[in-house]
Amino acid sequence: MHADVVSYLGLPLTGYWALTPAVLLLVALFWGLFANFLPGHDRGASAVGFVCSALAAVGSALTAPGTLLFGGRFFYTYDARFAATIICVLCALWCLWTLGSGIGRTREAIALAAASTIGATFAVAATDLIVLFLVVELASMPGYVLIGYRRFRMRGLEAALKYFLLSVLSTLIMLYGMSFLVGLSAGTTFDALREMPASPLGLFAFGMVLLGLFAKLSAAPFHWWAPDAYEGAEPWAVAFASVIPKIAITLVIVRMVFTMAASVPYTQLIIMVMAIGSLIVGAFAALAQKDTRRMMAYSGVVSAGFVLIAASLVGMGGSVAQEAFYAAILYVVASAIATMGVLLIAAHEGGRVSDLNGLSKRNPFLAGCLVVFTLSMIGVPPLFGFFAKLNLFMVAIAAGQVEVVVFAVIIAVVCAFYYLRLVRAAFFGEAVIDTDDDLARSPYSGLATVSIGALALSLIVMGILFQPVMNWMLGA
Amino acid sequence: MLSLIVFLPLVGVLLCALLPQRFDFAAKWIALVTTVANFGLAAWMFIAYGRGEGILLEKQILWIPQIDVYYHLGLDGLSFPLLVLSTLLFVLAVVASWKIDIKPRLYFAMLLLLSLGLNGVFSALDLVLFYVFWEIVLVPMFFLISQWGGLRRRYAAMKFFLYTFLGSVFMLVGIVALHHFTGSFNMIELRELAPAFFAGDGSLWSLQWWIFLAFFLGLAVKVPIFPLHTWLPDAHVQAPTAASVLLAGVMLKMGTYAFLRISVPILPDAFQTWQLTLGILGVVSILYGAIVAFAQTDIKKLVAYSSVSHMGFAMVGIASGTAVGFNAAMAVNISHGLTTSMLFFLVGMIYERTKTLKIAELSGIAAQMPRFAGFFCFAAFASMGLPLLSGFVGEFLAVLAAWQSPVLPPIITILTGIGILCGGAYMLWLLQRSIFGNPSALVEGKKDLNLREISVLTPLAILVVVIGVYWHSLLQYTDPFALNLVKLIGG
Repeated sequence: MHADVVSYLGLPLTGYWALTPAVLLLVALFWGLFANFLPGHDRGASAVGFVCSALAAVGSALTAPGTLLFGGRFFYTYDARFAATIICVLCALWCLWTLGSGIGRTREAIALAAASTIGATFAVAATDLIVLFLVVELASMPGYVLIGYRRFRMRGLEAALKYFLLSVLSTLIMLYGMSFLVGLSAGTTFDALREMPASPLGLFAFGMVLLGLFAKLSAAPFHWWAPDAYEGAEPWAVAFASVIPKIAITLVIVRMVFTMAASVPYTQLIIMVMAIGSLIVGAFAALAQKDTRRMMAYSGVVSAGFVLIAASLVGMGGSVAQEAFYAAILYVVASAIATMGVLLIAAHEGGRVSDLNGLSKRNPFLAGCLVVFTLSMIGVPPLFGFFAKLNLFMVAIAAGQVEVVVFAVIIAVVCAFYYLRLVRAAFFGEAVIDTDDDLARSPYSGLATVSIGALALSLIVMGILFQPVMNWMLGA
Repeated sequence: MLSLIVFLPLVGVLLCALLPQRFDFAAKWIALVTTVANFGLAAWMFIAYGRGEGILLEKQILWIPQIDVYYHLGLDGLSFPLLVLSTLLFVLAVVASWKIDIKPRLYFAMLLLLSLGLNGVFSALDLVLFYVFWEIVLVPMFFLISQWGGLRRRYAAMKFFLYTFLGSVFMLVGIVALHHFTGSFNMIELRELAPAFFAGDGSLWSLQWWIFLAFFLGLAVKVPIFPLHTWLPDAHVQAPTAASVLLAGVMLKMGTYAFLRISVPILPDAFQTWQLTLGILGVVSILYGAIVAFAQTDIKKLVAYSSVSHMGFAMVGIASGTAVGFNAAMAVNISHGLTTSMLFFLVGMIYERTKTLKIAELSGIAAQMPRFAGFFCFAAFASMGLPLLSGFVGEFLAVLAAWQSPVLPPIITILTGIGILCGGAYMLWLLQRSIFGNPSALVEGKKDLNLREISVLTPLAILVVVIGVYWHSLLQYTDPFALNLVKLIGG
């Protein structure tokens, strides 16, 4: 857009106008809560959810970078703008999917999703420990309810309880660490943290904070809740709860590490060890899974591993820190889009891998999308996932971590094996008619297909146009 | 112009994908028109510009500045003949797949996507772009094998994908490492930048040696070099005819092509350290392929193992490090592309008729199907390296190069020569068992080749004779490249 047109419209959104996306999402939240009394009921809530989060995406994209809010509690950087936009777009596509799906009662789901999205869009910009804590919780808490959305199913409740208990525990550990950090740095803002003198206690405190965040990111060895929780839940709920909060938490992790790299030596080593551990545990555990949700949970552990490699490089400081910071964001976005796509397909077809059997005959278009998602996660060019991986590897090699890259590459091949099992099921599996009612396939609708197709298309387009995507994130 | 050649198949892919189901029959026409246009364009460019010096039809645009990736295409004496061969084989593959009736739209879309990937591999001059095309090739081939293949197609397709993917990710590490040290992905610039950076140190365990190893792993799987060849028999045998042809005819060439394009000129010192290893592995591939081919009872598997053997000659040629050797490798590339394609086409044709690939059940074809027998004998003779046919050019040059090479010991020359002999032996034995003798029950009463099938085989046969009789027709393109390469590695 031309500069004069932009300024005429009062754009980009500066000052408190930067809260526009959150207000829009609040509209969706309340509409969802009171959908019973509003026109359209469940479908109305989904439609409003879609429209509001799509507008919120536009709003996020138009937020003026550099905006400071609430005395510096929020700082809208270029990368925060990028992540918030992606989060809102994913939320919009997810709402669109619910509008087109046959899952029935969607109103609370929309309200919860909107709440989580508000939290996530704030979390990517938060630069204050207290605020950070609040918005991270806001982003992840609705997930517990979504996981247990079918409250009459025992598995779902068990899953939700597991997820809830682990999250509460990790939150407490995080808070515990934060309390020390506040004491040590004599302030709650990131600016104060940056000035914090190095000390063993500081390392301990920061370690606690990271531990809490890693558990939410499902990095090994704090990943064990994820497969059980996801398997017990509806795939469409997992598609949201395992994707949106993770983008926000990744940003929080890399931002904190970036801020504190100087005051907490050795963290990068701890993070690297956990990254390697996550890659091994995730990749090899995923090989054995017969349930798409469990597989994607372990695949999430692997992505956490890749993201933590980048986070560790951020911790090394120096010239690669900034590049590693961006590499982490790109990687988590690439894996988020693909994960959401796979799980939404699983929401149509059923949670087990064998439920995908014969998809290529039932719905060739969705089968094609599934191929795009899996190839992107494997890292086959020219899809977005490939460039995100390549970028990460280049940063790692620039930082002198050749061994890590070689190792990560081998893991990528192991991952190819289980991702391809999804493709194999979809294209070669013999379709079995399943009469089990909770696995009965919901009818396809145009809107759900559009939503999944848009996710697949975005991976192709963002891959070929990697340059503009990256430029926009860097503000270059 | 080159971009047009590379991306022309994309038009066909999109048309096939958007075609409504009731126009299934149109897919093959779309594919035929696209591939013919693509071949026509490539051949025309070849005739018009093929003899030029340096990089032809070069095009360079900045694609992703942050990670320094260019959209950079160009051709030379190494890649131009391969590009033309590839586009030609795609035309023939489409004609040979005329009777595909299971999901024809997807089939032809995949075939065209494969064509796009291969065009790109042979044209890309930026390492990342090269890798992009290199991987694009995997996907359609995975589907071609797994959807239209034989009984064990799923196993073969998975094995094919994982093997080649494992190899190529190591190559990716090599690519990123090269960029880290030299700051460039440009394959042409790297010929000067990389040796300058490594300052002539390519000894064992040196940095350059490791990068060569990374590329070697990626390329050796593709060539394939013993012991990384085990995906090949499965993939070739299970693949549908057209895919086998393209696997053997074009995709195996990606490996030797990349050795000559990347490993040798960009990492010349490590190449010298590796030379002997490459030579030994090449000879082992030749003999191993030949001996295993002897033992086969399945005609398609025999042809597949003969590919391992033939590509070994290319490796020996490369390992020799001489201009003759590089010419040999390029000649084997082209000639093997022609003869093995013929053999796989013929095997596919006999399979369509008899539904068997067992050599024991195929005796006496000559009596029943004289035209088929004629073509089969011709292809077999060309493959075993009979003088005046194209197979002889590369294999003779490879033996000569091994002899001339200052690095390879004479025993390699001797064993390479024995390899040619073995090639003759298993092919003749195959002819004796399948073509001659009394017609078996399965062969009895089967129709001979029809006009469509003959039109697939004839162009290949003509090229085999032209190259075999008049070597210069091929070597005039490859020789400048080979001489330049020798200059680059300081030989």
